[in-house]
Formats: sequence, C-alpha cells, structure tokens
Amino acid sequence: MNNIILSLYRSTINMAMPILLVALGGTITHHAGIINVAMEGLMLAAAFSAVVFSYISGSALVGVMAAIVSAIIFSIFYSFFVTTLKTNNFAIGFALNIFISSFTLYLSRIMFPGENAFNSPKIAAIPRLSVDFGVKIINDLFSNFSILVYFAMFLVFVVTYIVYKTPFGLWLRAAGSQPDALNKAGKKVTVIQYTASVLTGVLCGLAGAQLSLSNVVLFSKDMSGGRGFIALAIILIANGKPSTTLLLALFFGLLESLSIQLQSTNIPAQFLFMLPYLMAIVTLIIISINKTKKMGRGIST
Amino acid sequence: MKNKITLQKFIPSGWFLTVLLIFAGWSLIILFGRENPFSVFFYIIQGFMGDTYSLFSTFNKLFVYVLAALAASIPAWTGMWNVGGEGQLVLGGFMAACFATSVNTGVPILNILLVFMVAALFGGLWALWPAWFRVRWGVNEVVTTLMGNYLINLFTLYMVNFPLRAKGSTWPRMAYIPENFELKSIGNTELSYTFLISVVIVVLMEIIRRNSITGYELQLTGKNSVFSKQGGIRVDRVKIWSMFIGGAFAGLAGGLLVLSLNKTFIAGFSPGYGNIGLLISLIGGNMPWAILGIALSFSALQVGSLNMQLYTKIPPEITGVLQSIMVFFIAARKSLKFRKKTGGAEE
Repeated sequence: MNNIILSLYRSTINMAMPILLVALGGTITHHAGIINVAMEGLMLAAAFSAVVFSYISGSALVGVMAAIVSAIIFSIFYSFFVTTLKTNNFAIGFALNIFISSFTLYLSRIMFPGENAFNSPKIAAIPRLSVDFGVKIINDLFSNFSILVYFAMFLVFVVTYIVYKTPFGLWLRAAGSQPDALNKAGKKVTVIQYTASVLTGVLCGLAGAQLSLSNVVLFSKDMSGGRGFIALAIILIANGKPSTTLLLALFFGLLESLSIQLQSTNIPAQFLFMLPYLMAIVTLIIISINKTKKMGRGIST
Repeated sequence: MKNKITLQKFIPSGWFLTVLLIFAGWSLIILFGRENPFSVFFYIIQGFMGDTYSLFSTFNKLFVYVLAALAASIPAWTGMWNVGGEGQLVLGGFMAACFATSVNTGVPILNILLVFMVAALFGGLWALWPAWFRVRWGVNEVVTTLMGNYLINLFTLYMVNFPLRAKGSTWPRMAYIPENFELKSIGNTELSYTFLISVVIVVLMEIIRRNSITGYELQLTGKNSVFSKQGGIRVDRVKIWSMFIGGAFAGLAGGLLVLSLNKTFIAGFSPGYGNIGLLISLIGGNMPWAILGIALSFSALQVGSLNMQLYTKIPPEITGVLQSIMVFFIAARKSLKFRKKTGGAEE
C-alpha cells in the first residue's frame, strides 16, 4: 500500500512539473495582459529541440538550452504578431500551434523516415539529483528527482518575486491593467510585453525539456497533449497567482498520474484520460460562478 | 513612431508580394525536406487540378473547411470564441453514424435529411453549454470549448474501440452506413452534393450578414455589446444562438463527412479539421465569401499534397505547415493594411 502511494506521489510530482513550468510562463504574459494560447506549441517546439539536440550532442544541458532557445524564438514570433502587428492573439496562437505541431512531425519524419516517434538510446536524459538524507522516507520523498523538478519549485518563488516585488513586475502588471498609465510613466508597453514573452519562452522551454528528456526520453507526435491548454485554465483559475498555480499544477499532475495508475483496473483508459480536462472545466466553472456571485449580477457583457 | 515606418517599408503589403512571400516560405520548408520546391509545387498542382477527377476531389472536400470555418465565424460575429469546432465536428459525425446504422426509414432523401438534423443538433448542443456558462457566469469559453474537444475525442475513441466497433475491422471503426444513406454525386458528374450544400450555405450566410436584421444584430453585438443591449438587442440570447448555429455547422460538417467521403465513423475521424476551420475563419475575417475562397485553397493544398506524396519523399504533415505559413503572411498583411487605413492611431 505504501509503495502504491509513494509511486503515485512521485509520478504526481513528475507529471505536475511540465504543467507548473508552462503555467508559470503563461502567468507572466497573463500579467502583461495577453492570454497566451501559444504555450501548447511553445512547449512542443521545446520538447522537440530538446530531444534533437540532446541526441546530436549527447548532452542533456545542450538539449535544455536548445529547448529554451527555440521556445524563446517562437515566443518572440508570437509577440511580434500580438504586440507589434496587433493581430488577434487567439488567431495567431492557434496558427502557431498548428504550425509547430506539423513542423516538428515533418522534421522528425525527414530525420527518421518511417518512424512515428523520435526514440534513441543516444538521447541523453536530464540527470537526477540524488541526495542522501540518511532517513529512507525522506529520501523517497525528496531525493532522486530530475534536477529540473527542484529548479521548478525554486522558480515558483522567483516568479512570485519578479511579479510582485520588482519594478519590472510592477510595470508588467501595469502593462496588463493600465497601459496608459505605464505610457505616461515613460515606459513602453511594447518593450515590457516583449520582455515578458522572452521570460515565458524560457519557462515553456524548460517545461518542454522536462517533458521529453525526463518524464519520457523520446519525442512523439503532439506529445504536449493539451498541457499548454490545461495550464491556460490553471492561470485563469489562479488569476496569475504563482502559489495557487503550484497547487493546481500538483492537482492536475495527480489526476494525470491517477489516470495512468488506474489503467490496471476495469475503467476504460479513455475515460481516465478525460479526468484532467473534465476537472479543468469543472474548476473553472466553479471559480467563475463564485467570482460572478461576489461581484453581483448584472455586469455580464 | 520611427520604428513603425521602417517596419512597413520592409514588410510589403501588396497582394502580389504577400503571395510571393508565401511561396518563398513554402520553398524554404520544402528545401528542408531535400526536395526541389518547383517539382513539389508541380505535383501539388497536378494533384488538385491535373484532371477532372482531381478537380472534383478538391471540390468534394471543400465543405469540411467551409463549414468548420463558419463554425468559428458565426460566433465571432457576436464576439464569442468557438475553438471547439473540432469536438463539435467529431460529435456530429459520430451521432450521424450512430443514427445511420440504427434507424432506417427506407426513403433515401428522408434518411439523409434526418442525419443532417441529428448531426447539426448535436454539434450545436456541444457548443451550447460553453455559451450558456459564458453568458450566465462569465466562464471563459475559449477554455471550455477547447477542453470539450479532448472530451469528445476520447469519448468517441472509446465508443468506436469497444462498444460500437464493427466486427472484424482492422482499424477501429463503426459499421458502414446503409446504401440508402449515402450522399450521391450530382447527376452523371463526380461532383458531390456536399459542394452544392456548402456553396448554398455560404451564399445564405453572406445574405444574412449583409441584408438581414438578424445579421445586423449579430454583428452589432460583437462590436459593442453594451450599446446593443441598450438598443434593445437581447445580447445574451444572441450570443448563445450564434454559438449554437456555429456548433451546428461543425456538426453538419461531421455528418456530411460520414455520408459522403467516409461512409462510416473511424477512430481519428478528424485530422484537425476544426482547428484548420478556425484558421480559415480568422484570415477570412469572418466573411463568408472570403471563407469560401480560402477554404478552396486549403482544400486544394490538402488534395494536391496526396498526389505529391506519391512522387516525392516529403512527409504528409507538410499540409499543416504550408497552411499555417499562409496564415502567418495573410494575417501580417491584414494587420499592416488595417494599420495603414487607420493611420496607426494607437499609442
């Protein structure tokens, strides 16, 4: 029994990390006033480049770096359309998702003709950090996760600090809520939004790397599997608060690992896989109803 | 300000240059695949208009893109975001196949009309609940319609794999629909009735958009809902109805797909038609006429790339890549043109 709970716990943490990282990334653009629907694609691009560069170089670090760089490039591309050209952010976000989804598959088929997934023992995984605390339970609970897991936890504090305690965070939130005031203060909204999109790129890059170089060590078609959209739901539910985001990411990680663990039972796998999406809908509805009730009716537009 | 002027100098906004840039982007992608762009273009063109058969294939595929695009456009008129076209289309197709394999009136025309209604109804219903939650409780409809896609895909995948799977099928699918449900082609030609249906719907929607009170109300709601409300339009109802109609179009697309091209419901029924429809509606500016044109080019690309795969080693995923590159350039051109018109009034 203990073993089941422990393995559920460990897979929850692993599954939650990509969602957490993406959601943190989206949190930054959320405060800058952009609903980022391109995160799904950014994460997929990162996962793909992580695998390719880790395969070529044999080093996980190079893979992670490549993931970050590719996510930043696409994030700036997205920002160029949304911030500079003022194109509708949903429009260009979905176009970007479709582009990345087909382009990564296109490239992987060119590199590995006839394969459906990019899988090779030459791909170097992100190393695990094993620390010996001396006590077995504590070791089981806290040791032997991928380095990125610890880093992601640390990033929750970093993002909180950036958003709420630094001048940049203030400008960021102003860019979202009062862009005119920001302009009068002599700061350019565009510059802030571009900086935000670079930070989002970094976080989505890390998420992609965790997905394809740690949770599994391969690239497969559309492997981000809607996590970018789950993250979008999380951001809206948490209203951009990093600590709530962490809790929700863990919750969705739990649902995801439950749906894998319960496959040995009689419940059909497809229904188990519905869990995260269903709960995202339900949670968002509950939160929205509460919010509307608090604010009183009659303001719906 | 300086920044903007240089930008407009470097990104040309003429149609000719946009098309040139699209082709340049496409060529670059094809060069990645170590093929000659010109021969690839040749095979694609040959594939969609090389002979009457391929030309008709292009027309017969058109309805999916047109209807999937309208599924996003009609709600967009009222300022709603329906990104759940994919799920509505799949559900419509699934219910159509269920209906066709279980009920049979014996009269082909009645059968077909009933399937249309069932498919449209369920597609519409699947768009209705996100709309209701949006209007009543302010639940973000982008997230709910999106998540709805995953739910429907998983649900139909289960149904077609286990309870409803046709015996002895190698790829999970339902039983084929009876012959008196099939949508035949017009007269002696290869042209399917689906082409006619999609053109009629486009014309109808264009007329509604331009000349009817309903169309005016829908668009006014999208432009300024507070003003519309004060003007006596029941904004909430208009929004919900627009989502229902959008969903119904997506559902109908699924139903037509079952009756004309597929003849059954299979696992992986839609390779992202809903999402591509969304793109078409976005670059078509929610105008039915524009949608028809762009949908035709998307359909041509899709059909043509099947032919290309026979002669080159370019993988099939290229269709999505080419389509999205087209979207990027057209979207960029549109916003630059719009900015020129308004003189870049913001900031």
